[in-house]
Amino acid sequence: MFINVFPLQTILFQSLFLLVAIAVEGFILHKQLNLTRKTSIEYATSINLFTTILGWVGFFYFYPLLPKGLKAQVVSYIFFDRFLDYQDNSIIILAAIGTFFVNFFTKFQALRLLEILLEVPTAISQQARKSLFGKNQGSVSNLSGSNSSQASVILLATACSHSVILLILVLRLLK
Amino acid sequence: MEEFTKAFESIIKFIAPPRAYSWQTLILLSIFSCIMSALSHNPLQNFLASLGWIFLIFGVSWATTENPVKIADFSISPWITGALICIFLFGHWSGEMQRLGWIFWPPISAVLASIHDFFNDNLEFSPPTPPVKQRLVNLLLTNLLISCWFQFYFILQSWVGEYPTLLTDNFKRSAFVIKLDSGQEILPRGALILNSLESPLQKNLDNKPWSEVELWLLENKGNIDVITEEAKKQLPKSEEDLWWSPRLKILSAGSGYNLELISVWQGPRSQPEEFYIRKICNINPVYVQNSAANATELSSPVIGKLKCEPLSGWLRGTP
Repeated sequence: MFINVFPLQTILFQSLFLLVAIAVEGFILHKQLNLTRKTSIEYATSINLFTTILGWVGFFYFYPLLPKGLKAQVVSYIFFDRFLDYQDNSIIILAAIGTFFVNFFTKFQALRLLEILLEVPTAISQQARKSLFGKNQGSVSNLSGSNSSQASVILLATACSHSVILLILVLRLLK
Repeated sequence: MEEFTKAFESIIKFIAPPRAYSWQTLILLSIFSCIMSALSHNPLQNFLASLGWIFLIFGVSWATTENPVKIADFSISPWITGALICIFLFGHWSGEMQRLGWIFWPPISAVLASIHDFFNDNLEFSPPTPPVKQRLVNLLLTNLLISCWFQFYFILQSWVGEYPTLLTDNFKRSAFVIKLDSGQEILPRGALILNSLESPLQKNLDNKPWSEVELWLLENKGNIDVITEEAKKQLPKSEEDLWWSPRLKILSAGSGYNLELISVWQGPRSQPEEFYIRKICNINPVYVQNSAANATELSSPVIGKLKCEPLSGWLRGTP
């Protein structure tokens, strides 16, 4: 089994984008949600890895379902960076916009799942605890705020990390 | 001589079990099982071999837990044990299943690395605390990502298998893959198709009366789907045949004709122009002497003789 094609750039670029996104989003989570630096980086790592894996699984699931013509287009794009007999590259722009929104929703859900998994007390459970025990539970450093504030923070974080990734891609195009 | 005995002694000290309940025992048991399995027959052989593997896995796992193999303060022993488990589970199956071995290796290793966090000091099952959970989540997700990368590699290999002509092309602009030269000359599949077109052509044109030849050429001018179908039946089927379109150009040359067989590649390629490969055959009328003829009558039939040259060019542009 000789290796004739190897996804070297895929691995390198994806690792680079992940590191950049984790750094940017970790910073934003730290600033906006008042989490510790370490916790926010860990959260950012989890949600970015989760989103990336979901993206791969989506690709593996949907690719076999495509018609033959589209499959050839995908192969052509991955191997040769162009589309077959089809000069219009606007599909890439559509894909980028779609990716942004899918990423945002996925990251938001991932953050909520993570908080459930890690038993992070949310505002609702804090309220419940207050009313049950009638005294103030000291502020927990992992408190993440309400749903809507989380959503806006994730939106901001996704926007920033995608902007940096876009910048890297533009630099690569101009190179 | 002394150094040899010293080395031998240190090896024995390493391998000999200090007490019955240690990893060296398991490794020795594994070697014993393998030897026994080599000496026996099916089905006992399979059972002993599996037993040998299981002992090896537990032994290595134990050994690497006590003396962890480290890369920069990070223990990679679960990955070694995971690799052994995957080889054991998926190793002796054929090609398709071996991919599963690679894909399951990272998650199995991640599970192994995290097992010790699920048991407390009394060896009872106790779920880990949130900080530990966070670390485990990140570990598992990173390994799943590596599995995705492996799966992508296998998908690329399947593409190269379906469209072998792609290997002849230039991958410089690709943002995803690089091509590693195997050093072998790879012929585009069009070469195979053209070469196999030669035999139906010979069947139809060689040694046939000239009038038949001209009739056939007139019928099949530019459109050789019929013989292409025949030719394709002889070849192993390939996904990429969809993108090859063979054409025939007939040019008159002297007393006969030049048949230019062109196979055009319209599939994924690195340039906007189409690639094509070409084979030129010519068919000429030849006078055959009628052996039993009357010398004065020149009623010699004229037949066509087909001569094909070897393939030329994997060229760009419109033919």
